Amino acid sequence: MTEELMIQGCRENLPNAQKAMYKRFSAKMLGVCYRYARNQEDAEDMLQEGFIKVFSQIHQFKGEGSLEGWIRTIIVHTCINHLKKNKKFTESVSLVYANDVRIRDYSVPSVLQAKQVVECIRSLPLGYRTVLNLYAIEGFSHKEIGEILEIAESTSRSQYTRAKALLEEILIKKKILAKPKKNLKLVSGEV
Amino acid sequence: MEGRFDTDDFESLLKEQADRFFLVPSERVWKGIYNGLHPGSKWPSLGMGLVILISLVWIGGSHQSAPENTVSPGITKNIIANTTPVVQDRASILFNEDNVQSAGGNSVAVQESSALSLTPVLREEAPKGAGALAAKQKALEIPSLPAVDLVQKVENTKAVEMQKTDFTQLVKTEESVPVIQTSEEKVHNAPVEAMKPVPTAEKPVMNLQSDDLTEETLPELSEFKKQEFIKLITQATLAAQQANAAPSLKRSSKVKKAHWEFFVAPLISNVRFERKEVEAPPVLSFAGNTPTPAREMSTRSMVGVQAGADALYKINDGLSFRTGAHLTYSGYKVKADFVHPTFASVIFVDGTGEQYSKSYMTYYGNKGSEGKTNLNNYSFAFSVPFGIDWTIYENNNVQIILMSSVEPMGLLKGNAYILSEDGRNYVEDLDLLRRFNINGNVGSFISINSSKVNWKMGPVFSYQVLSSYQNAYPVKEHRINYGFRLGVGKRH
Repeated sequence: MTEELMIQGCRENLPNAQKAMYKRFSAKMLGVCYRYARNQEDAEDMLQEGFIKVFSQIHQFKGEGSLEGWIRTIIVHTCINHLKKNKKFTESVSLVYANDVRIRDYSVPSVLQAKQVVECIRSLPLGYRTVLNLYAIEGFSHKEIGEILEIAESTSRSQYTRAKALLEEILIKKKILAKPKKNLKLVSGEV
Repeated sequence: MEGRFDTDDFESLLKEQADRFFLVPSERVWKGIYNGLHPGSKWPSLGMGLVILISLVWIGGSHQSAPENTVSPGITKNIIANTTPVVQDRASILFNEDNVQSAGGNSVAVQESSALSLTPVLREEAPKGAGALAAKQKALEIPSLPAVDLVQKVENTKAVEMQKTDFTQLVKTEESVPVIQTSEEKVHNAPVEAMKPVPTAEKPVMNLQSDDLTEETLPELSEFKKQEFIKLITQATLAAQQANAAPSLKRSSKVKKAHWEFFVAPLISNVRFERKEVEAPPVLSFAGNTPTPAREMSTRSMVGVQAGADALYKINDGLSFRTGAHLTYSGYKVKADFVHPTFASVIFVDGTGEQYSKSYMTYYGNKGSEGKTNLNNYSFAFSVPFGIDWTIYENNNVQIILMSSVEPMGLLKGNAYILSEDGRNYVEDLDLLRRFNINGNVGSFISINSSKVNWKMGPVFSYQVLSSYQNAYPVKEHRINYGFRLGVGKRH
C-alpha cells in the first residue's frame, strides 16, 4: 500500500489502512515512547494513545513534511502529556540530582549498541531524560522545551547540561564511552 | 580515524543511536487503538452476550421440563394418563365385593381380552365371604414400595411379557382395555366406562404391590398366572402413580419457575469523567495540552431512586433469569455561581474527526468548590434489565444471591450542564444527551421467607457503560450508582 493510499484510507477511517500505517510505524514509535516511559507497559500506553490521536487527526496532515515526522511529533507530545497527566514529570523535574557533575570531553567507540544507549538514557531521572530527549534527539530548542514542559528556558538549559553530564558518566561506567584522556583521543576499535 | 566529539557530535550520536532503536508492540496496543477508533465494534460482542444469555435461558427451560416427559418412556408411551381410571377400574373390579358376590359360585374370574389368542386366562377360586374381604384388606394396608422397585420389576418382566402376551394393550386406551369379568358374565371387549365404578376409599390401589399378592390373596393361582397377575398390578400401580404425580408436578413447576418481585432502591449517584483530548495539531502548537485545574467540574453526589418489578424465571436450582421494568431517577450536582449573562463556547468533534465549536449564552460560572448554587444534572429513565441471579447459599428460609445484569435504558427526561472550553462557565445543552444507554449492574441480596412473602434486600451497584452525552462531545460522562435494594415478592 502506498503512503498516499494509506493516508487516504486513514482519512476515511478504514481499518485496513489504519493497520497498515500502524504496522509501518509502530515499532519505531514504540522506541520513541520507550525513551520517555518508565517501562514498556507505559510506553505501549503512550503509543496507543498517540496512534489514536494520529488517526483521529490524520485529516490535518497536509503532506508538508514527512508522514513519519508528523506522527513522531504527535507521539512525542502524547508522551509528554502522559507524563504530565500522571504528575511524573513535575515531580521529577525539580529533582536536583547531578549538581556536582562536570562536563568533560570524552571519546566514544565507533560501535554503539542502540539499545544500550537508550537504556542509559532511560536510567536518567525523568526530568533530565525528558529534556535530553527533546533537545538532543527530537531537536527542539530550549525555548520550545520550556513551552512544552511549562518551565523556564533557563531551567531547560540547566537540566540539559546536567543530564548530559550524568549520561556521560553512565556511559563511561557501562564502558560504552571511554574515560576522557588529556589528548582527547577517540578510543575505538579503529584506533 | 581519530577525532574529538564535541557537543554537537554527542547529540548527533545520541540521535543516531536512538533512531536505530525500535521495539515491537504487543497485540493489545492495536486492539486498544482499534476499539478506540471503532467503538461500534463493541456491539457485536454485546449482542453475542445477549444471544448466549437467551440461549442459556432456553436450554435451562427445556432441561427443566424434560423430566416430566421422560420418566420410563417405554411405559408411559403405552400407559400414560388415561391409564389411571382404567387401572382403578380394573383393580376395583378385582376386589369389588359386589363382583365377588355376584360370582355366586364363590369365584372370581379374571380374564384377559379374548381377542388375543395367547392371552392367559386367570380363573381361580377366591376365599369366601368375610375371609376374602379380610385378605383383601390385609393386602391393601401394606405400604408402597418405592417407584424405582416397580420400574425395575416392570423392566424385568418386559421381555416375557412381549413374548407371551401384549399386556401393554390392556391399558393402552379405554377401548382396548380388557374387561375383567365374573365367571358367569363374560362380556368381551366391553368399554371400561360401562363398568360400574367402585368407591376406592377403603381399597387404595396405589398401595397394592406385587409383594402383597401372596398365597393368601391368590391361593390357587398357578405360578405363571401369579407372575402375570403381579406384573399387571405392578404396571397398574406405576401408571397410577405417574398419572397422579404428573399434573401436580406440572402445577408446582409452573408456580416455582417464574415469580415476580417488586422493589425500591434508594441510590447515591456519582459520576466519572473521561476527556478525549481535542487540541490544535501538535505541529502548530507546542503548548501543553493537559486540561488545567480550572477545567474541572466541582460535583456532588445526589440521592436518587430506582423502582420497578422484576420477573425471575428459574433456570435450575442455582440460577434464575431476571428481567423486568425499572424507572430510575439519578444524577449529580454541579457547584456553580451566577454570573452576568455571557457567551461561552464548547468544542465538539464530528464523525470525521473535524472539530467545531458551538456558542451558548449562559448565566452560570465555574468557581470550583466555591460555587454558591447547584445545577442538577439528572436523568429519569426507563430500563429493562436482562440478567442472572445466582443462589450461592440456600436453606428453608434464607437465600444469599448474587445478581448481575445489563440494562438497556431509554432516557425520559434529563438535564445537561457542561463546562465551556475555557472552563469558566457552565452551559446547558439538552440536545447533547444520549437517548439510549446501557447500564451494567451487580448486586448481592439476602432473601428471607416470611409466612406469606419473600423479602429480598442488599446492595446494588450500577455503571453506565456509554457516555451520557453524544459522541461529538469529547468529554465522556459515566454515571455510577450505589444503592440498597429492598424487594418483596410472593413466597416461592
